[in-house]
Amino acid sequence: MRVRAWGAALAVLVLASACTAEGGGGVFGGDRTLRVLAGSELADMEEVLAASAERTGVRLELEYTGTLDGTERIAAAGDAGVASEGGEPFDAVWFPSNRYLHLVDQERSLVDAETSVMVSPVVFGVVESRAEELGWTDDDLVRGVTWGDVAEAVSEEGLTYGMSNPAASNSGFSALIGAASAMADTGAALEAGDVERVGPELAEFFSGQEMTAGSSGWLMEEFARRQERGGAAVDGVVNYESVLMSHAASGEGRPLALVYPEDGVVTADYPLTLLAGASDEAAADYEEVVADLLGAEAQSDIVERTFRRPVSAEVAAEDFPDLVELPFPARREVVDDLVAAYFAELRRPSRTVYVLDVSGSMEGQRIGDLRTALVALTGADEGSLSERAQLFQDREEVTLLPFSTEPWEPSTFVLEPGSSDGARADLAAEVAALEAGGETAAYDAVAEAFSLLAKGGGDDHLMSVVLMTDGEVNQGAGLDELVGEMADLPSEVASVPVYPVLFGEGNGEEMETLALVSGGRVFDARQMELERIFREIRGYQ
Amino acid sequence: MRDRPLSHESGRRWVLLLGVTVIIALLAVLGVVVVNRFGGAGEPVAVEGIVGSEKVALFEDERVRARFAELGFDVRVRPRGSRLLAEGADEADFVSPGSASASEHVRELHGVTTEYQPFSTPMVLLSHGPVAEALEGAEVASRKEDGTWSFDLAAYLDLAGERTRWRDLPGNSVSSGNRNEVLVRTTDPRTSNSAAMYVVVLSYLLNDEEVVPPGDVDGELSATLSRLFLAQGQPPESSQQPFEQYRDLGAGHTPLLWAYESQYVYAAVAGPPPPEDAVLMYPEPTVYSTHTVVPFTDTGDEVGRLLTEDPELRDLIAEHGYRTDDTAHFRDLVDEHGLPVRVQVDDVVHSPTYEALEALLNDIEGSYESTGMAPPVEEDGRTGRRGGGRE
Repeated sequence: MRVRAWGAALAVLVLASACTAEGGGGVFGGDRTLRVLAGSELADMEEVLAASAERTGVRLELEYTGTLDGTERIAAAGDAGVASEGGEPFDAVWFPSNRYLHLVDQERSLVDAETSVMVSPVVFGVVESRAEELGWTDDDLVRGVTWGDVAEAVSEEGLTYGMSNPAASNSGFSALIGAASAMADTGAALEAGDVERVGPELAEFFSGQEMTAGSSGWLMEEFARRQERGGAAVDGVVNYESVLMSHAASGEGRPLALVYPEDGVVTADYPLTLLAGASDEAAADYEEVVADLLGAEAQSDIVERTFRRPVSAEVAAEDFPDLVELPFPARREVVDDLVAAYFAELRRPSRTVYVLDVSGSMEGQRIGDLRTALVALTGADEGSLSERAQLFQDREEVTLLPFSTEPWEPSTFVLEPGSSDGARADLAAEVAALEAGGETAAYDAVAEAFSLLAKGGGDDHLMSVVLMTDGEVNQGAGLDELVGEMADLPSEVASVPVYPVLFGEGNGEEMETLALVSGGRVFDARQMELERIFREIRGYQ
Repeated sequence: MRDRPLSHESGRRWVLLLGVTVIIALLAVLGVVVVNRFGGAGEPVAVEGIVGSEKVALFEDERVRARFAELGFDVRVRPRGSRLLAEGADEADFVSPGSASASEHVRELHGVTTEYQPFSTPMVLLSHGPVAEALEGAEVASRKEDGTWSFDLAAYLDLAGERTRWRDLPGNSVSSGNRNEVLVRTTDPRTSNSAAMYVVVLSYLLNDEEVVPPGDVDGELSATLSRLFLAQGQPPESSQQPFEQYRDLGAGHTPLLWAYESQYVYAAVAGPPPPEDAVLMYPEPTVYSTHTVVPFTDTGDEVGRLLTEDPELRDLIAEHGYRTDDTAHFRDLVDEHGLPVRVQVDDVVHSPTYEALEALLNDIEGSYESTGMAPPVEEDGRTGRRGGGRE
């Protein structure tokens, strides 16, 4: 017994001395790693985390995802855990908020420990000159404006704003909960029935939503690009205070006034969360990382680099105004129903033209994948909350514009509430009938998509074009010609983004140009299932 | 936080490494001898405990661990929600619930007669200066001659019953924009001891100032309680998180928090400190959270005894803000730090029996699952699952 104890003590001390003499953080010379499924918002933490890893010897390996999507993956996997790209299961998750996770996992069986590391409320940024017109002025921040005032500014002053997709991104989700809670104005957590009661006010508020996006980071970038492009600019953006402050600090674009809704906000608290299945080693590493991140050094770093609020009293939070926090619903159905109502009733419906390559090179597996990906979006109302939100929604208009040597005859499907199931079935049948053959006249087809949208324009739909092509454009207009045409588009379609999907031998450079010129974003389906990409794009429509 | 190697310089020190290793190996031999002499019994005996999460910080305090090690024990604890504490608890050496009724349940379930009551703490309300003044104006809060604050829970129930908003309170001290209801923020009644303590006190008031007896749950009473929880929205699981939010995020975020007195005292003594405008209020009535140790093994028994008797451990327990039966100790701490704390808390109610409290908590739990539209009647005839929703 005693000998064994000595042996163990010796071994520990020798190892400890090896670490010290080697320097750095590793044990046995190798870095320890905590695998973390993280919200894409956390991408701006890399420098903070690198500095933290220097101190602790524990590296956080972040794999990014949308908050709701990540939450649902963790919940669906349960005890089995979710595998990271390297194949090993994730030890931890780090989303802007665990609120939905706790609604899904009422038993709290998925989480071992969670620690809020920093906070940032979701607020409005409004172009200063516009804020002044609206009378929303103060010294350096705007108070006294309620969510209802914003809705009023939308209907009476034509205020427009960007907000991320609530089923894909936590900032949009928080804004939806905030707007609904504030307008319901019960003083208490939102309940079933409240949403129906304040539906008209909410719809008025969301009628100002001119831009949407699957991520809050991209939303902010595109908002700034639209400011630069001029014509299609929107007045404001709903985002994390931290993102808005980072934008201000970058000095790019026109200055924004931060508008803090007086009746309350929903705050992201970024809990670093150890999963229930994590090993003892991972748990020890987690403790160490959390202790370091809560320390004065990391906390100051977080404030300086990311503009999130600290959670440590050691670091002053004086620059951040005190805010009212709106209660977050206690029941899952309330949240699920609100999100469903947002897509089917409250937001401006979308009108999308799918420009689909059915040239000869698509024959076989590729056209099969395309059919599967699109038909999946016509599915029945089931699955997780984010999956349901990705389906084609009531009130939407979907146009299929296949092309090969030239654009085919377009077919448009209007998903009227009440009879939308029939439209979905027709759409699925049309997709299933797509056959490949001929050349690739992609840009002629995109030009055609714009003219289709221009004909139907002038109403409240949020419009976009999805371009899926698997090869070089070898027929009809070239990219330069298309870009030239796009400069002369009628105003109602001038800001329609094109979302090109890179597939097969598609020309990445040209697709990037097309996305940039139109205010869209390229989605790369070369390494990923086409269905996943089509689902992701739904967050931007 | 575990100790880290200090050096961050780069390597190239293999020769040095060898020398250091030899020296350290020698030191290790000496060290083990010294430790063995001192402790007298070789390696500390491992003891495992299951405790309410509010006590993890105490058991994991390095000084507490060091003292236990001196006494020959390596005490490791795992946190568990208060209502799940009893099930399978005897796999550990001891369990430490945060209330007398939960403790009674553990003992009954596992046929244990021994129970230590090493420390306790009364439930309090934490607020911010301007909020406390507004509540004073509404005649819910009041300042006593000694400077400590009282909070009239019956008056609060009236305010809450009228769905009063913060901005409706008299005076200008609360932001006129705060349209949230005047509600005490609590933890999750489905899992947390702190919230169960809230149920103890409110159920007493709602039951005409009588401790709720076992038997059928009064549907109206549990519906009122459910609403007071559900209206707050999604609750925090354990008491630490809302305390940190209260501390860090200001009066707009958490105007009024149900907490353990020990949380406030520990923060004031050991830091990070409570906010500068913090106001500690004693609910009238309140209840004591009595922390017990129920042992399942001899070593578990020894831990319970040491927590109750060892002077050094009792010092550390006091520093964590808990009260022991040595009132002078607590008084000294309060005086030394000038805390706005009442050494003597008078208006205290007793908890219902475990069964009666559990029945209430079950009813409240059911209300989280219902839609809040209509209360479904369960087939076993219970009137449970009241929606906490508005009429």
